[in-house]
Amino acid sequence: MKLGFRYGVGAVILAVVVAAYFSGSVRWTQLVINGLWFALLGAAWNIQAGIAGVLGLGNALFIAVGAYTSIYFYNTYGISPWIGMWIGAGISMVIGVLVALPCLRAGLRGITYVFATFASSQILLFWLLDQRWLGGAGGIRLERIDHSPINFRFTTNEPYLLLISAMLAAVMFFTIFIQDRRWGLYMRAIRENEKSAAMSGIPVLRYQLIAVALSALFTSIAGSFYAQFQMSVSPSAVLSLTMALNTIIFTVVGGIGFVFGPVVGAFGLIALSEIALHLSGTSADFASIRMLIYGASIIAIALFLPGGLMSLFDPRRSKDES
Amino acid sequence: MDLFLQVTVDGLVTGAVYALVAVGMTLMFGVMRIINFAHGDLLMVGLYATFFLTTGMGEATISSQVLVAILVVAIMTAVGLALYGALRPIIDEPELSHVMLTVGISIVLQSTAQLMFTATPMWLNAGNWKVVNIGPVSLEQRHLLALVMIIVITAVMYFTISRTKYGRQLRAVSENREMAGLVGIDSRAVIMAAVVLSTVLLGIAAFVMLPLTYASPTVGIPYTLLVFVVVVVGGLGDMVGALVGAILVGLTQAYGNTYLSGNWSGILVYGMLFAVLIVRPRGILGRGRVI
Amino acid sequence: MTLLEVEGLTKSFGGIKAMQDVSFSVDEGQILGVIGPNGAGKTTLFNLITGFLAPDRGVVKLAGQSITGLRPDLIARRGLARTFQISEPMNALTVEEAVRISAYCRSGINRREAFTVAAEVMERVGLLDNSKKLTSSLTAAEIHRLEFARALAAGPRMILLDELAAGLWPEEQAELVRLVTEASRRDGIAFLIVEHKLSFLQSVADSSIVINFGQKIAEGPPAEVLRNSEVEKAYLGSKE
Repeated sequence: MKLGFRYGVGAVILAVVVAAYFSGSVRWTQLVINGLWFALLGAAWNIQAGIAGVLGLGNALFIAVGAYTSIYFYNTYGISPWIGMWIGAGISMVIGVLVALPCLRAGLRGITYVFATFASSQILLFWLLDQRWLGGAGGIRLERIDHSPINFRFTTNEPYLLLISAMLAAVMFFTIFIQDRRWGLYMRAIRENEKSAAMSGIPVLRYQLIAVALSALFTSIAGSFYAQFQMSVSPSAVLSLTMALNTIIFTVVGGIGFVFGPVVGAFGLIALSEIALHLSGTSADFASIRMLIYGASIIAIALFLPGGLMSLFDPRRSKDES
Repeated sequence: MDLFLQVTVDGLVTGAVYALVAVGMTLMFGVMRIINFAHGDLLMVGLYATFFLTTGMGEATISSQVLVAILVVAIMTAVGLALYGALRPIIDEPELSHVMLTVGISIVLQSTAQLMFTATPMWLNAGNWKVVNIGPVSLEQRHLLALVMIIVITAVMYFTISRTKYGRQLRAVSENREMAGLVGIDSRAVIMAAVVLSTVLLGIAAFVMLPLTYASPTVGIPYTLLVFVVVVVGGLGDMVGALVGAILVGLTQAYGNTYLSGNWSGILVYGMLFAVLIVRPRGILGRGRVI
Repeated sequence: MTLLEVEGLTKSFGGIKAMQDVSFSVDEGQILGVIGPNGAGKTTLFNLITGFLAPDRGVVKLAGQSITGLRPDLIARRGLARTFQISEPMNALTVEEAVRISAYCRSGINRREAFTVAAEVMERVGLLDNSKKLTSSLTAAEIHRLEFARALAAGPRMILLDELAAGLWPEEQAELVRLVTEASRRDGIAFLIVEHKLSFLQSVADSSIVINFGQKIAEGPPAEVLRNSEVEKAYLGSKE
């Protein structure tokens, strides 16, 4: 992929973020934060799917773990979410590996791996619904709001915007960095051909699990951000089929394996639904019209550009190189 | 004990309903390897069609019901042809494209239904469904109808796939499309027939089910998920397996809801899926195709 | 010095006996050919030796240590490299990346050294000019050379060649012969070669074994073995 395209796309996104930051509009900052958050989910999934070829649908599980732990540890022990999010990340990585290990070992790939991982997230959903100490169906909310950055609380949206941008940028840089190192090469080889990779001395299962763990780590942190930004979390909000699809759809639409795939997919779809807002005017059906446009664009991508939006810039391959 | 029997029967009825919905997915996913995330939403289309046709007919006589059924089948045939039209260009693409396309279709169907009909669930008038008592167990006629229908449909589909010429062609195409073409099978026609058959079956399922449930934009989602569990647990591609899988899921839900809690029945159902995938990927009966 | 020892290797799939009690050995620096008609079990033999299949009975030893049933990547790291017949290896990787990955097999190698090894090997097989090309854009002959490069880069003591001469023009085949004999003489690498093209086999192999229906039916120098009546029957006259 020519670097020029990548810089071009990056510049556009940066411009949007900067514009939102200085716009002073709550609505715009909120919108861009959403877009960046979805992009972060997608970028995290891109590591396991785009680099290592592990296509799971269970990442919503890590959003939930990251969200719940950050709120729970703050409410119960007063531990700052800055620390709580790493506890959540650790738990997420462990669960991620525990779920992925038997599945990958049993040879589940493709759609069966999707089902198995999705099933694991649904099991967590039902378990959370059942746990009264975690709020059951209502979930939990931040109990003390003390407006202090030390506890991840800011009074306006702008710091959150900076934070989510930094998180996304970190994951994207990590993705670029890892492509050419041994870890990344190993994972990319696994994505291409597991047998051939094994013959090159790569312990396939181990690196698939590493990819899953990294994905879990970043997704969990995104979950912690979500919980702190929304100030609450409930099982049905983070473990629904919709959220599960959110973890993958932006990357798929933008282009699996492309570093800028998730962010292009997220902003592309959000932009489309904003256009829908302006077209539909005031009607109460806005939410449905937006979903309609959303669904129609996904259909369009599936039919005409299955490699994702970024593949327009590089039709021969579906992956970036640094 | 009486409670146990009643719960068992309820579980069987639920299982029968799932089986009705699962037949189409066994055909498309199990046999043709086409993943359809919009499966439940197509059921939703059938439910709305049945609802409007039935209420539009006024008096519920046998002949009007038959007419409704025929019209629903006609509508779902058209839907199936449209679905095939959308799938055809990407039929040979990797699974991910099918997932993307059908997720998109699912979202479009739901939001269109929302715009056209609002989110209010639409129930048929309760009518006077007679209750049948078999020993300590009571069953409504409509449930009995569902049970009967599913047995009939499963038997017919099983027979179709294993004994008829079309069934043989179907299996040939699903195993190796190139080879099938070489021996003169028009795989496009076969696949089109399979897709249309799936949606028609969903239409029949909707017709039988509407008295037991309601029509709403999101009514299909749980069915999509549960039916995936059913076909995997039963064994991909196997009609009888799907029936067994459906019954297992129905019973698990019934026992789970009654003796544990609603949440635990969910955990058990998805736990069952997870366990089957890892330990017995060819399904409980072991007759599913290799994943 | 014996490098590879295969003893009593047996494998059945369902009712089919894919491999029956096959035994042979390969010395350091030796080039052993494996001849046999299609479906005779040659690929099964390779899969059993390299860890992609576990035998029902029998032992495989590398330099005296058992590697039976070990994971393929571990076997590779112990010094047993293999080429594959697949025509599209590592599509989205460049030549250089594909070769460099194998270089990481060498124990204790660091990042800088891996680059060096990869460059050396690519030059040796003549792919240095194509190092930045995607493997998906290589010609068939170049892919075969890449496979060989990947095997070499791992620093192996023995390489299993799986039909590497298939589909090559005579000049390309001669190039491969040169690479194999050079690797054998210069680096002391032993070779186990499965090959249909008997002309190729006869140019490189010192000795050979013949496999049919999963059994070893003959052993000896290629020229001799090919005159064996049993072998002729097995091939039913299909010689190149």
